Amino acid sequence: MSSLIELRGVTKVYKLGKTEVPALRGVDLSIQRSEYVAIMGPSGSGKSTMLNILGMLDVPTQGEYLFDGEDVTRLSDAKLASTRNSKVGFVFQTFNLLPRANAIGNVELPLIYAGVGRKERHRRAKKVLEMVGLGDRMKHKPNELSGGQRQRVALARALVTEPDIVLADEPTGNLDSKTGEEIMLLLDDLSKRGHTIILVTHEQFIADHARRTVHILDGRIASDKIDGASI
Amino acid sequence: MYFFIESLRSAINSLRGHFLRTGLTMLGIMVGVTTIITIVSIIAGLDGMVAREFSRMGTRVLYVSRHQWGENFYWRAPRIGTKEIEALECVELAEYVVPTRKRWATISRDDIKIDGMQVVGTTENYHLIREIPITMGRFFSAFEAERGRHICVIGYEIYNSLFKDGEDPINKYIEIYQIPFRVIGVVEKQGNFLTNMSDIAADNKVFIPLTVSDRMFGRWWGVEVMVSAPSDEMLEETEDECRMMLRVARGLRPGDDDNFGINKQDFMLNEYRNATKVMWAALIGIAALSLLVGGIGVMNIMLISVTERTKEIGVRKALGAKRTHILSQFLFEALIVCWIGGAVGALVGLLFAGIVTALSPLVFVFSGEAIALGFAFTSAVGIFFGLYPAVKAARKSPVEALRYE
Repeated sequence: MSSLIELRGVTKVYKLGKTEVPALRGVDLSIQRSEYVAIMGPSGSGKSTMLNILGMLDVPTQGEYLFDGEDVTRLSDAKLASTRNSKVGFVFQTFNLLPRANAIGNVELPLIYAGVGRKERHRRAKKVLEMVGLGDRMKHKPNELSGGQRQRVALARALVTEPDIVLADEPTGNLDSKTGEEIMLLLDDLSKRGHTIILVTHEQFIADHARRTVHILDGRIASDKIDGASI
Repeated sequence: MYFFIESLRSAINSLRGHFLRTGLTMLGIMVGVTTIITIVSIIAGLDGMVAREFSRMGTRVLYVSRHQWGENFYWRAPRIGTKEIEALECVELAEYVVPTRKRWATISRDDIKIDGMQVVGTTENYHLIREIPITMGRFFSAFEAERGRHICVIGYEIYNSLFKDGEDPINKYIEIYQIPFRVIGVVEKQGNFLTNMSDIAADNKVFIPLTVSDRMFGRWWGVEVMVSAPSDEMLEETEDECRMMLRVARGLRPGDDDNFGINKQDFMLNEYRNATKVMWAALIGIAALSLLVGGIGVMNIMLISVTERTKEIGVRKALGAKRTHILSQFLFEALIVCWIGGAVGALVGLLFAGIVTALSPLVFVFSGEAIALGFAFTSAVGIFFGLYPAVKAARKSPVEALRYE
C-alpha cells in the first residue's frame, strides 16, 4: 500500500532580498492513512514551512510531494486550491474564523468553494457542529464564543469537507490548558475514528497525544519515532 | 453557479460591516451619477424642447426660397415670384401652397408703438399649413386676400401690447407704418423662449394679405413659398415634384444646378444639433469627471479593505478559495458599491431633472436607454476601479496572507 503523504528530498528556499534562506534542506517523510503525527521543533526549525507544504499552501523549491500518489508540485494554482479544499482541513492556532460570519457560516465556507448547494451545505455543517458539541451555538458569531468554542468551530470547519488529512498548527496555543486538553481529546477521538491528523506543536505534552513524533531541526528531520521507538 | 450568489452575499456582508465608509464611498459614486443623469436629462429636455419648437414649422412643410438654408446667399438666383408660385400650385401632391413675404415693421395703435415686429404678407391658408389656431375672430379669406383689403390677424404678444385689459380687438384698427389695418383675428398664444429669437412662433407677427404687402413693400425681394405634403412620408415625393415643376418653370436643362432652394424644418434642428453637439459632449465629459472621482474613492477603499483583510484572504485560500473566488468576491464589493450608489444617484438625478423641467419650458425626457447606459457606465467604473484591488487580493500568497497580522 502506498503512503498517503510522501515527501522525497523536499527543500524550500526563501528569498529575502538577495540572500537565500533555506527553510527545509532535504526532507523525506512518508505518512500513512489514519496516522496521528506530531511535528515538533523549535521556532525557526522549518516546521511551519513543512506544514505549509504539507497543506499545499506552498510548493517545495525542490523535491517531490506525492499526495495520494499524485505529484502536487506540478499542480496549477487553481488545482492546488481545489485539492486543499477537498483533501486538507486546517486548524490554526488563532482559529482564523471570519468575524462577521456566524458559526455555521464559518463551517459552510469550504463547502461554498467546493460548490455544494445551500441546503446540503447547511445540513453537513450542522452535522459536524453537533459532532464537536456546538449544536446549540450555530448562530453565534465568533466574538460571542469562548476560545475553546471557537477552536471547535474551526475544527468543524476543517472536518466538513471530509478531508484526507487534518493539519493542526498549534491548535491549543491560544487556549488555557483545560480547554486545550478538551480540543486535544476531540482530535484524539477523530484519530480513533480513522482520520489522518498532523499536529504541529512545540509542547511535548501536546505531542504526546500523537503516536508518532517527528522532530525537525534546522530544516532536517532530526528524529522520527513511533511510540517512542525510532523508525 | 452557487459561487456567484455566495460572492454577492459575502460582499454584502462585508460592506455592511463597514457601514459608514461604504456609505461615503457610495456617496462619491452617487454624486457622480446624479450629476451625469441631471445634465443628460436637461440636455435631452433642451433638445426635446427645441425639436418641438422647430416642429412647429411643420414636419411636412417644404420651404421654397431663393437659396438653400445654410448655404451662402446666391444673389444671382432669380427671386421667387408669381411664376414660381403658379408652378408650385400645379404640384399635384401639394396640400397647401402658401407664399409669404416678411418685413420688420413698427406697429402702433393710438400712442402705443412697438418696434421690430414681423409683418407677414401671405394668403388665406397660412394658419392651416402652419396649424396655428385662431383664438379670436378669424383668418382672412381668399376673397379678402385677393382684393387687397387692409385687414390683419395679429399674434398674441402684439394683441397683449396693443389692447389692454382684455379689450376686444376685433374690428379695431392698428397701424403698420401709419397705414391703418382692421384687426379681424388673434392667433392663439404660442409662447416659448424661441418666440423672440426666431421666425418660428407667431406671437410677434402680424399677418396681412400678400397683395397688400406687395403694394406696401414692393416685390423686389420675392417671397418664400410653403408647400405642404399630404403626410410626413410623402415629403420626399412632394419635394421631387416641386423641384421638377420649378425646373420646368425656369427652363433649366438636365445637368443645370437648381437655382432655388427647397428647405425643411429638420435643417434647423440639425443645425442646432451640430452647433450644440460639442458643447454637450464637453458638458457630459465634465460631469463624468465627478464619477471618475467617485471611482477613485472606490479603488481607494477597496485597496484599504484588501490590506485589512489580508488574513481573511489567507484563510479563505487555505480553505480552498481559488484566485477567481477571491477576485470575484472583491470585484463584487466594488460593483455593489457602484450599483447602489449609481441607483440612488440615478433616482436623485431624475428627481433634479424633473424639478428643473417642471420649472422651465424644458421637456422631461425619461429615457430607459440613459438608465441602461448609466448602469453599464457605473458597472464599468466598478470593474475598472475594483479590478486592481481585486487582482491584488487574488494574487496574495496564502502563506504570507495567513502570516499577516
